[in-house]
Amino acid sequence: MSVSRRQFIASGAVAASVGILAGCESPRVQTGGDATPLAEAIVPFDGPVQAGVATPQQASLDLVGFRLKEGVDKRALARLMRLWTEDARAITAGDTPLGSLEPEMNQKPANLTITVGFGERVFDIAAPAKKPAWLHDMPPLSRDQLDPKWGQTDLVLQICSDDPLMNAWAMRHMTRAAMDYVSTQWVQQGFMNAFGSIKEGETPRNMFGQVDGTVNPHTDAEYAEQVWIDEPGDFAGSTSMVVRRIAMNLDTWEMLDRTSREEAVGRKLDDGAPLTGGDEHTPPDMNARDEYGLPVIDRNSHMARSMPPADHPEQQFKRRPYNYNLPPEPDQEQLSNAGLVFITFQKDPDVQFVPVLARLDEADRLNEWITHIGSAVYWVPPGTSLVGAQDRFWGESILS
Amino acid sequence: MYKAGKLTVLAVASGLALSACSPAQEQPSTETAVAASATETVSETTTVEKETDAEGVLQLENGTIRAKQAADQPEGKNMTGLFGTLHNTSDADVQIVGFETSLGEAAYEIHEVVDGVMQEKVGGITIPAGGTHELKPGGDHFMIMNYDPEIPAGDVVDVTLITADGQKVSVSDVAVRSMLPGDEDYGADGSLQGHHTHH
Repeated sequence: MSVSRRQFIASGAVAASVGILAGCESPRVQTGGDATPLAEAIVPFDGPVQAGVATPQQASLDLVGFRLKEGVDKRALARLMRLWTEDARAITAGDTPLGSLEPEMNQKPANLTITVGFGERVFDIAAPAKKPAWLHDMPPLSRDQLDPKWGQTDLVLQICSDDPLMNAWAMRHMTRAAMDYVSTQWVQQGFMNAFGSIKEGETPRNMFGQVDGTVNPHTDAEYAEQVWIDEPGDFAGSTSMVVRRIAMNLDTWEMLDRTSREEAVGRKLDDGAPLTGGDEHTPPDMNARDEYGLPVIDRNSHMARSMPPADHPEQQFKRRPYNYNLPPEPDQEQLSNAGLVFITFQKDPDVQFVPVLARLDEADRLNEWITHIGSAVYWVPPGTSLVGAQDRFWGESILS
Repeated sequence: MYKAGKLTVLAVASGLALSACSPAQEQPSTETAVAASATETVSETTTVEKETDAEGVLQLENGTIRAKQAADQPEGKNMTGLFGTLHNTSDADVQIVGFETSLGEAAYEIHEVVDGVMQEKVGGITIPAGGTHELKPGGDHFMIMNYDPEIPAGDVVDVTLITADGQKVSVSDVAVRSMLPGDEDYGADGSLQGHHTHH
């Protein structure tokens, strides 16, 4: 295409092309006849932005954090990104990636997306002058219990699809293809509803039973405003990814009655509507009072504390969280080992996300039942294309 | 098999664009519709299609060189294999008797696996007009030997196929990949064994 990537994003055409996917039924496509429901479910890999950010959430997540092997320099990073991009392009299209003897394992990609993120160290090695100012550890928060085992990694792959076996094989191939360059540091697996179990566009729930993900960009303009970086030129179509691993104490949460649970968040459990009425997407009325003159929505409820303040409307971001539910640790007291892999995308986490985290750390009714146990930040390179002026492989402009 | 998948992608993407907000409907059957078309357009858009520059003789589809470390490294070797699917796109049989690469000086041999043992394939590979021949672990393959330096995953190598009648057919940008299969020290039955005709 002749239009520059920046123009393409500014014109809203980006979200339009993913809007096709995000808006209604596509790409979670139902087919008639003998075809299985996900038979033709392919998310295009190339484009001005990477897939897997605006793509409607698929059922399975494998978020893989990688550590660079010793001696990996800029040229090695370029080689890795070249092979990873080519292989991801093939796998997500249902084509056998080079070197694979298992063509059967990805014939039905089931809406597979593979999204890469660069940690701070990649810039330190390859392009220190280009490192975004926001690409650093989250500032420590008083309630955090961050475990280094869920900490920052050099690279991350977000692998999502509507088929857990497809996800597993994609993770396998990307891992083995990169074996000379990286080792796996952690894997954060997650899930939401299986394809076909909830309606298209319906906001999924977390293990607290809450509708989770209501406040999000939806339109082209909102994505352009909140998510897609548009300058400098190399960076057009990129974004940031923040990963917060959040442990949930289901034992103590479930001691609450439903009303108390709703008050902690500020939303109804049944449909996610704010306690002041309407439906899920109705804005809350923060000034509403009950018959005692008390605020209907607790000032310290999760919703109240996470909302952007009137004087900081820029504190918005894309939330794309997944649930996790692990085997309980042998010595743990809680019955379950569950929580959220809370992934967000935004132009600048320092401006849009950190202030929200800080405000929640200061006060949030929900803090009683959640603990942040992991944190990582990444630059998500622009999308790729084999035609035109875009990067042919992930991060090409900063790795050249 | 490989091509059909890519063609399906292109068709589905455009199909989605057209049918975005209509109720669930049959996706067009893409495999047959596009199978006949657009090898040209597909070849622009996929690395797999970086095949021959010479017209109408030979193409190497999914060409892959097995990555290796330098011979002086603990896990290093001085040889590696090249795999892929050869297509004879001409209307006459073609006999491939050798090859070279942009790696430079090395021993380039065509090998076969017979009764689990790898050996040089006398007479090379003859592909009938319009036919294909697969180079694969456990089967016929090309060997790059007596080559000490690293061949790292993610690099690309230019390959030149040499035919019995002296034609040289270039195949550019053959990709290097880490592969678990294709270690020449393992026979087709999975047992560790030596390579015949080591130089």
